[in-house]
Amino acid sequence: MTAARLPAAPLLAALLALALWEGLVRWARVPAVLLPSPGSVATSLWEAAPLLARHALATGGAATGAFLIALAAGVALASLMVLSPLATRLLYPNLLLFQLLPKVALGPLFVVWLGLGLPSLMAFAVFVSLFPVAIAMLTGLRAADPLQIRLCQAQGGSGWQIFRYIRLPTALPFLFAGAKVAATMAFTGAVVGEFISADAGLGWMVMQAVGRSDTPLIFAALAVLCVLGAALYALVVLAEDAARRRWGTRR
Amino acid sequence: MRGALASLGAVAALVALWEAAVRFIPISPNLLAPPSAIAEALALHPALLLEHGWATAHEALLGFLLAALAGMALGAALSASALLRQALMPFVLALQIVPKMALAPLFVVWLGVGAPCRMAFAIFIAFFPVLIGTMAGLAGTESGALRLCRVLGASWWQTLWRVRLPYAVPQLLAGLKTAATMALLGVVIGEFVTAQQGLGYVVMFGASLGETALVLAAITLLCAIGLVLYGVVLAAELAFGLWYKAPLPAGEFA
Repeated sequence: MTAARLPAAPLLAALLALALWEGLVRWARVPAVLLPSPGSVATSLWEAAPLLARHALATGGAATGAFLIALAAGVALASLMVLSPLATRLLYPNLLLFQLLPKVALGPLFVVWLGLGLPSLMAFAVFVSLFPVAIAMLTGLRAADPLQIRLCQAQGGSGWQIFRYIRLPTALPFLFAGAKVAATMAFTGAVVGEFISADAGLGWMVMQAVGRSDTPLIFAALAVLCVLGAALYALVVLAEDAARRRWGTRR
Repeated sequence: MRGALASLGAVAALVALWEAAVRFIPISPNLLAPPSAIAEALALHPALLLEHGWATAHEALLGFLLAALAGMALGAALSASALLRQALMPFVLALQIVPKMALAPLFVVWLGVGAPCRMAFAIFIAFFPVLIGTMAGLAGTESGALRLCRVLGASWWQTLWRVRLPYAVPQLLAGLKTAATMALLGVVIGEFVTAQQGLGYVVMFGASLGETALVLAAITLLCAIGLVLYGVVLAAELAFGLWYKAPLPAGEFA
């Protein structure tokens, strides 16, 4: 009963909001430049579909690639810090310093360093999404039960075994929480990078549409972007479910 | 104390390494300016940096305060009313997943390229962490404490003020800390997109000229503003602790 009701209620609310929006725009004759009706956004979505698909592929590819690199690098960094106290001493304060830095503001520097194009865009997206993964993974690896670790040591478990069988399972839920943030941040990084300077991608398309005051197209491009971002997020959630079923991590 | 010293040492070592690397390896100053050049840029353009820094700082601070008020108000309303929760939570959750920063150009369309646009965007970005923190905090009250209140005949208001609020504060503060960073980021992204004034504009402008030292100087100032905003939240935390005259109850996640 509740399981069937749960998806229906938000869907109904969303449809109601769309209908209200369409009705309001028509009734009050809001100019399309300010707020296009859902109908005109759909028309724009349909007409610009090939163009949108091409730019969506560019942004989606860059963001997904950056997300995967950030995931791998974040996990590696956190693991290194747990396995080596020296690495912790060297890296952890700097990691915290970067946490305080408004990282997105560094976007233009990546253009200076790597020029226009995919490498600078992806490097920026990796830079922005790496820290949530690293911090979450580190917190997770450190959250392992010290009694379990002592027991493992007493039984002659090696450092690697402690890492693999005690720390890693504890860290998985934390890692997925970090990965969810990173998925959103990777798209944020890619799009902000495209805002700053790019010659392709949805962010670039949005800026072009802003210049032409083509608000329906802005909405259409943003809608595609939101769907892409939500899709990557959903993939992380699916992976989390699969991992929980496979390894039985309890939250 | 020793930990803090070690941290400071690591950061100082990084800065020294940076300075030495730039001096010994001939890197073009357009690519990476040494810390000394950043200090020089700070000293060379004080009027420019102060003017734009002030614009960014007061937009971010105002945006943060308004977002905090709105987030706490709506968070309290949502946790009080199940109907409101059912109606609005799907939208809140959907917006959590969406890359909200990408919506900046919409605010330009609606509000033009001035300060209202950047502040509205900063509020929009910083609002959600406060809302989520408030709701999670108010929902996190220990059920035993609530039952005790009911048994002792406490009124709804007494329960909220004396029990639920103290339990909510740690989560709320965590949300406010995130919001402080987000408000500044919102203003900076707004400055990227509108390109009128502010440190974000200086960063863009300096990068396009290849003035890397100026860019890094502006980013240093941005960090300082971020720290001040963070400090505002820390001060609030301290003030609450003094007023409450007891250690805050550690929430589930503390």
